[in-house]
This record gives sequence, C-alpha cells and structure tokens, in this order.
Amino acid sequence: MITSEALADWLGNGTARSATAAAMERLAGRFAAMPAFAALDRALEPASSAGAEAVLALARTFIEDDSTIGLIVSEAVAAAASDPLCRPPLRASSNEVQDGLVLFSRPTLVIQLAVISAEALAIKRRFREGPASIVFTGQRSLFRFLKGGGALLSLWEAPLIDSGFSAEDCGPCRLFERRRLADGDWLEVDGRSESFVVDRAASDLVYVFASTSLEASPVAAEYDGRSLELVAASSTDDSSSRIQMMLALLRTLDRRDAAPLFEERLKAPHFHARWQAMRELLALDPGVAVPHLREMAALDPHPEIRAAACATLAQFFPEPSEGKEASEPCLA
Amino acid sequence: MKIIDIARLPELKTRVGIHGSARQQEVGGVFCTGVIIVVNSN
Repeated sequence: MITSEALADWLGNGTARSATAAAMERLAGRFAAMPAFAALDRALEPASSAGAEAVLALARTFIEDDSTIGLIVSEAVAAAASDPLCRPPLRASSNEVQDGLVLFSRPTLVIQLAVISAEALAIKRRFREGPASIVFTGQRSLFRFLKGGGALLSLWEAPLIDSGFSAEDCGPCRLFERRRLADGDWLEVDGRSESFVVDRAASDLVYVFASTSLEASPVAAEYDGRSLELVAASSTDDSSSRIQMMLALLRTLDRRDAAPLFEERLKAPHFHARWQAMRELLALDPGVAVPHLREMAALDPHPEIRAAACATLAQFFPEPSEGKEASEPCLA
Repeated sequence: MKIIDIARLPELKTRVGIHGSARQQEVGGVFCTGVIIVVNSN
C-alpha cells in the first residue's frame, strides 16, 4: 500500500484516528437526529402496509425536502473540511459511472443521493465493447434530478413483467420517448415495464433516488440495446436468492431432516424460486418431493413449471400407461 | 427411492439468475442495490 505523508501520519497516530472516529460518530448522531429521518421511519410502516404507491409518496416528501438534503451535504462537507479522513457515516453506492450515498435503507424503501459523472459516462460510451443493455429493474422508483447535466435520456418500455413472466413470450422492448433533462426534473419509473438510458450528458448529474421493493416483479429483465430482445433475467428478491443458495448447501450436506424447509419454499411467490426449491428437494429426498411434484404439474399457475414438472414425472417417475394416449397432456 | 442427480432435472425455459445485489451490509462493504444507469453506445 502506498500512502501519502498525511495518511501515513494519521495511521501512526492513535489520537488522530480516535478523533476521526469521534467526528464520524458525531456526524452520525446529527444525521439520526434530523426530524425528516424520524418522520420517514414513523410513517414507513403504515405506508408499506398500503403498498408501493404510498411508500413512493412518502419518499417524495423526503426527496423534495431541500433543507434536509442540503443539511446532510453541508454537515458532511464541514466534517471533511476539518478532518479530510472523516467520511460520511453512510454506505457508499457506487459503480463505474456513479458515486452515491445511501441516505435511508429499510427493506421496503431505499433512498440515495448520487452523482453520475459526465466524464465517466463518456468514457464508458467511447470504450464499450458490444451493444448497451436496457435494464428493467422490476422495482418502482422515483428520481429527482437536482442537476440534470443537460442529459439526454431515452425512455423504454417492455411488456409488463409479472408473475407469469416467460422469456419465450415476453417480446421486445421499444423506445417511446427521448427527453432532455432540466435541473429539478422528476422521473417516476415503473421498473416492471419501464426503463431509461442516459444517452449523453454535458455535465455531471446529481440526483436523489428512491426505490421500493414492494410489488416488485419476480425478475429484473435485461434487453439487448440493438436487437431489443431479452437477453437475461435475474431475481429481484435478495433474500429469496440467499435462501436458494442455502437450500443447495443443505442438499449438498444431505440434510434430509431439513426437508420441511424445502417444502415451505415450494409455495414461494416467485415462479423461479418454486421450481428451484423443487429441484433441490427432488435431489435431496424424492420420496418427499413427488407428491408435491404431481401437485405442481397439475396446479402451478406458471405454465413453464407445469411443463417442467410433467417432464420430470415422465423422465423419473413414469406411471403405467393405463390405456392413456401418449399425447394426452400431463395434468398429473 | 433412488437419489436423483440435480443436474439431470429439467430447468425452466426462462433461466433466472440470482439477485444481482452486492449488498454486503454485514461487512460494511459497497452497497450496489439501486439504480442501474446504462449508457447508450450508439
């Protein structure tokens, strides 16, 4: 590690390090005491019970509160001015074109303050290999662009991603608008069917962004920017993906005593999670799995699951034909 | 009942990857959930 002289001094000075830690704690305390955060916390539970619309309406009251946003930034800047190693006690939210801070994070609402670098955008655009992606996040979100950066956005739409989503039938996405951003513009995006792309920007974009996981679609969908066809889908549910990995681990450990946990996941709201749980249970304990497999083959609302369940029954658990026609559809 | 190799079980036609978040809150790492900004290369 190569350090500057100032950093090397700080690393070797316990008193200085303690002072920085204390400054960060004071800053965290000042943020926590801001009435706007307390108001958000108080109102979030009833809003979450009411649904995504109510949560985003609540987020809007926070996002449009210039005095609170301004205070957060000025407090953080003042703390850094007096101690360059005092970082805001907020989580970073960064990727190759964006740097941000997570102002508020609860399971049903995340609010971030972020900057998109016009320079990073231009570099990414110049050196990209292959076409851009158009990503439909599956979540509903709200943007307020404090600085629009003279950016040109393209707005895209795709068929609604719902519980019956199928890669085969989803169809292409399409461009429906180009919009020049001005300072102060708002943009509400229903990521189940809408997305936007930053085509170019003259200067940095600064924005506050809120997103809710409530009423999210089962998957986020990525479309190819040239063919406009779907190229990939991924789960929108963090905890469900973690559970999926845990089921794989339990199956690998041959924990048949955990079969009830697998059975519980067969009722997961998202179709891909149900089938993944079934595959794991079949590999863990087929005797427990088969009655559920027959039920899935007959009753699961997603056609791909019914088809996969029927194929599994035919391949691994064929029944005597009992005079049935081979072409008869499987209803288990 | 005979154990089945999971690799032989059918997959859905719609392949779904696990969640893309790198939300390493437990280790205080980078918080990647949020906006996906895409840049047009055309």
